[in-house]
Amino acid sequence: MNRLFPSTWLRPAPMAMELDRLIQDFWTSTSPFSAAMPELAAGALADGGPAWNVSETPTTFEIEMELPGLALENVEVTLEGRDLSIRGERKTAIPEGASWQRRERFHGKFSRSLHFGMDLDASRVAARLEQGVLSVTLPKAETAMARRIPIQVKSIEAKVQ
Amino acid sequence: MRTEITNPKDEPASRAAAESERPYFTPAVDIVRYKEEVLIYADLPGSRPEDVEVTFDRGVLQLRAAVSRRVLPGQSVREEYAVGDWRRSFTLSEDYDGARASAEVEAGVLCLRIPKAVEARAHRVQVRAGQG
Repeated sequence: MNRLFPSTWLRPAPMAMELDRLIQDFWTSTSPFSAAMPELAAGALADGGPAWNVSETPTTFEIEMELPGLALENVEVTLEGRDLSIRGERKTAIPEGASWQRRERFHGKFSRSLHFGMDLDASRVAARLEQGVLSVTLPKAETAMARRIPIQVKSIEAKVQ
Repeated sequence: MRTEITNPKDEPASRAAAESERPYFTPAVDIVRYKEEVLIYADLPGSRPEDVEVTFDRGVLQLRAAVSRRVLPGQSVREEYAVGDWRRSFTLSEDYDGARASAEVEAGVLCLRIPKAVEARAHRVQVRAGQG
């Protein structure tokens, strides 16, 4: 696993719930940490953005990123040459008069980028966002795809002669 | 898009057994106090409204969301997160009435609204003039 982007978005391993620790305090108080340093405590992204998974098929690159609460029009997917970037912003505003008791969900602007080692076909990039999961398909340029050259196999008899 | 609040005892045993084998994660939540309610927002990407189940039993509000297995085609180049179900539960104080909670799911975000228990709401005591 290659983690080039230190990120607060990396999800912890499956766990038997940290509930008990969390449960008791949250109706009654906010932690002193969140009171003293709201920016750090409140899920603001210090660096980068949401975690993503990337895969490669013979003809495409596929990217998936979890962006719950966002619509496709709030996300900007751009490809400049071989550089892809995904940008957006999630606002988690609350009504006036409401008060935060706990704030763990990410909020604010995010941006992630990736450089590819081959040409891509920018005109055929496709993106969709369903149930808060962004999927992007980046087709490789025709010129970048390895050509398969048919290999002729001569029969052994022919070789012997 | 509403999720029914059901009693966990109604859950078939076979389903519980099948679920226990799947990996699951703790979703991030925001909790907001607003007027006579507490709102819980939970990030449940990959879950459709019908995949989300919220139960309330003996003071514990439990949320579970099934997520269909997603595998990117081809060979993985970078893998920064794993996909699994979502589970988390909350113990409510007696001031809140979990049995009257309502839930909505949109774009992979659950919004739970839990009203204050009637007994816990502030009410004005009428003052009358004493006799004499």
